[in-house]
Amino acid sequence: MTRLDRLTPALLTAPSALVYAGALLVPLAGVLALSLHGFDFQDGILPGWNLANYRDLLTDPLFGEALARTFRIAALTTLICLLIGVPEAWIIHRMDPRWRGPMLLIVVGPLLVSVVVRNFGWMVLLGTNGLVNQAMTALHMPGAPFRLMFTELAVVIGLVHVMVPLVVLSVWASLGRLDPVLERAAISLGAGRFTIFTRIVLPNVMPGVLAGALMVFCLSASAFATPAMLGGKRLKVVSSMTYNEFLNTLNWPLGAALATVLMAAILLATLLWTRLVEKRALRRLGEVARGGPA
Amino acid sequence: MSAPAFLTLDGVGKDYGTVTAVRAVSLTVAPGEFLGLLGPSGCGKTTTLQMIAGFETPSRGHVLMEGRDLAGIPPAKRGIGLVFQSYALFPHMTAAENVAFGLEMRGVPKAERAKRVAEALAQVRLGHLADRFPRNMSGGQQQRVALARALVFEPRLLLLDEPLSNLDAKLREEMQVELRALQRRIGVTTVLVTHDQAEAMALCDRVAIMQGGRVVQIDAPWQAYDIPADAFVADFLGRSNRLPARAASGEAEAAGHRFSLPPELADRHGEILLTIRPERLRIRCERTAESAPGLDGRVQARLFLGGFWLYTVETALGAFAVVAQNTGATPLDEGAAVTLDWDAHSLRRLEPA
Amino acid sequence: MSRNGPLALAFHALFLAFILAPLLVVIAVSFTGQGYLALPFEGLSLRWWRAIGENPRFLESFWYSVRLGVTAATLSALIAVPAALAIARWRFPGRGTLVAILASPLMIPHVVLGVALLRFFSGFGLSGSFAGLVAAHIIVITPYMLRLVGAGLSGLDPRIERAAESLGADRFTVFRRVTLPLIAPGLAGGWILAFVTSFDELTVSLFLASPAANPLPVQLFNYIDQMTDPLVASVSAALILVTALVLLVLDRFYPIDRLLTGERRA
Repeated sequence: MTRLDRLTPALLTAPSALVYAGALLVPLAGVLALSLHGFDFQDGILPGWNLANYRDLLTDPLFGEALARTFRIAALTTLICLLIGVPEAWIIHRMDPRWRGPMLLIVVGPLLVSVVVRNFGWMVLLGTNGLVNQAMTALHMPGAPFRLMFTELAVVIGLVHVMVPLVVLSVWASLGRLDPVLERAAISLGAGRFTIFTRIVLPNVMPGVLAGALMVFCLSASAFATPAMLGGKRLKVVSSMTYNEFLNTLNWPLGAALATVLMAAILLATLLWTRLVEKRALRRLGEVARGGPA
Repeated sequence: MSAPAFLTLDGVGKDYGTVTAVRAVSLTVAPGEFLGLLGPSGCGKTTTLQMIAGFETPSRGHVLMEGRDLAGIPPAKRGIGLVFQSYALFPHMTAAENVAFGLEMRGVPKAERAKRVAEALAQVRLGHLADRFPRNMSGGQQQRVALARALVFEPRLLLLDEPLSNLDAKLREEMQVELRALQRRIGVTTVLVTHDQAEAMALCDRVAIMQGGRVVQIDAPWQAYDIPADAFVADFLGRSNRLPARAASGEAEAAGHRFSLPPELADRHGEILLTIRPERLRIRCERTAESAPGLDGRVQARLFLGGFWLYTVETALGAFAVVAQNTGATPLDEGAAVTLDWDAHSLRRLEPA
Repeated sequence: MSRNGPLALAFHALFLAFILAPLLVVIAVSFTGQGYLALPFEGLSLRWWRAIGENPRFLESFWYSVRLGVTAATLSALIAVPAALAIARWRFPGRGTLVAILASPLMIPHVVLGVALLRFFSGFGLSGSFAGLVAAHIIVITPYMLRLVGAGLSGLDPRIERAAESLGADRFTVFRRVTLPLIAPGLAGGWILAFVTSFDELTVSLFLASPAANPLPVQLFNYIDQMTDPLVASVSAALILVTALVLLVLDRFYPIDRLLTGERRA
């Protein structure tokens, strides 16, 4: 290898490495550092390092409540997304090629619409006089009209709407790698449609399902816009608490501590998931099946 | 008449829109017979197999198994064993689990399943790989697992879709021998689809040669080889030499060369298209005084094929392919002057194209 | 592929209804003739659509977001393409780590990013500025750019480039005349996806915005926070329709599923 050859990758990756170092890594380190300082309303950020912020957080019942709520919402969202997203991907996969493209477009397209717009749509739908309640009242549901807005239910609905296309995509990618002849082989051996889905397809798209599940969980736990818009100011999750501390209360160190805790929780969840669930579930498929984009 | 047919195809055809993949195929397969569907790509052989399996619905005609029309019976219920070109083993299951799948679908209890799976794997000599995953097996091993999987539930019919085409030459030969032995041992009626004429001729009791969606000839391999129905079959099965000539009173004449015709062609007159197999031509270096008059020529090329030599000889009547057994003697050189001769009854007549 | 049964199709229809419901509702409500949000409403009218033109804030925000997106996507391409090249063609020490770091923004909560950048940029006076937002957006969108350009590169047989070299082209010419044209679809797709991601980005922008630096999603979010009148609906409806248009155009050249998963073009 010539000297130029050895230098070339370094030169090519330098710009992005520098940008990321400057605009990502250093700021993130700064957050960690900031979280270790105290704060006073009069004097602002106090000098001196301590873990006071973390101590305060971990003993604060409100924070505990918000943390529990965050993970509760994330877990529920992930579950629902899997329950409806995986079959949907399979159904589209089995469609006539003419319909497959347009259907996928409709399902996945909303990902390109801003979260603000989508949540606004849910606000209109789920309001006390919104379409959903109108339908409930017309059907004489006991207890209608329900208070749907500014509840955890609304947040979950909004999050599912935002996240489920991601599950569909993830499973779709796995389905694309599935040998189409396998289905015929299973049929020739006497398997019915349901058996084919559960015994042949599902085990082989597990990588996509698990990757999708992890992605949805992490994004839901860290979501800000949807809980803020559909949950309201009273329903706090960790991200909205962080936003509040940073931009309203202006207690930056505490906000930084919140951000660090959120980040750590996400990383922990990812590590646990990858180690425990994925490794075990994917043993049968070998490392080859975990292939993804370059 | 022989035993009633096990499988009958009666005028079976398939259209895809304006394209006709299979025109009208009619044939019968006797119980326990090994039939080959042979032809170049696009001849309709795979489509025909898919119609027997039930993955394609015939546009016309009927598929009958043991006298019963299979129309309307889904592939899962036909009790047919299928081996696919790519083997289609379930990657997330071990060899044993793959083989057990068909038994599971039929509700066979666990203990009996384990026994039959072990037997099936032993039959293809893969008992020691029962717990291995397909990705850790060679192509030949995967192929045998696919076979075991198709045979374990004792299907009434076995369909093989180009099962050996993904194997390398040596392995393919070995598998051909094994496949034939296995089929003989089990006695299951088998239909094989292949584009490899040597393979079809080696394995099958009868061969149905297809072209353009139609069956052109259906015969035992050596019969089809010896008496090809038309020029296509003559060229497709093995090698052949074309010999256009003019016939008159039991003799034929071409480019000034005269030779006898076999008795069945003695009363032919006028233009005639003859064919002769390369192994029926005798080639010799020098012309002895009392030897039958032969056709003079020059060796243009030679190919060594292990068991025999394949010579291309330029003559006044065109280029001839000549096969000479490798007796260990010194082969003829390229450019050597040679003489070809043959027995009259080696000649066959073809319909002009 | 076998067909779906009626149960499957019914499920699919419900799924589609769920996906489209909020979007269709927004579009419907935008045509109300009344002064408040209600569905169903009386009086079909375009008054709230016309109101967009009369409301300079939203128009300004729109163009601001466009400028922001174009700048961020283009700069992102400039740093991502060389990086993707290096990653695809060379095995160098630290490659794995680099790939992980470059993809990391996908896993970092946007709130955390917002906090980190607000803190960091404040020190330089970049908070509430166009440059600050551009930098933030570059971090957010580059992973998508990398994924798509990377997929395009992995689909490119390196032997084609070697053939060009063997014919006498120097490295830079090979890139310009062979590599670039062949990865152009991936690059274009990546740019568009990056642009759309930047255009839609709310959370990080919220932390770094100011009255002078006001992307459209931030404007909308704050507006909804304070009042909800049908102007939000018409602006949102306009955004939905524009996105749908972009989608349709994009899909013609690059199937949408490959765009978002980064798979190679078949």
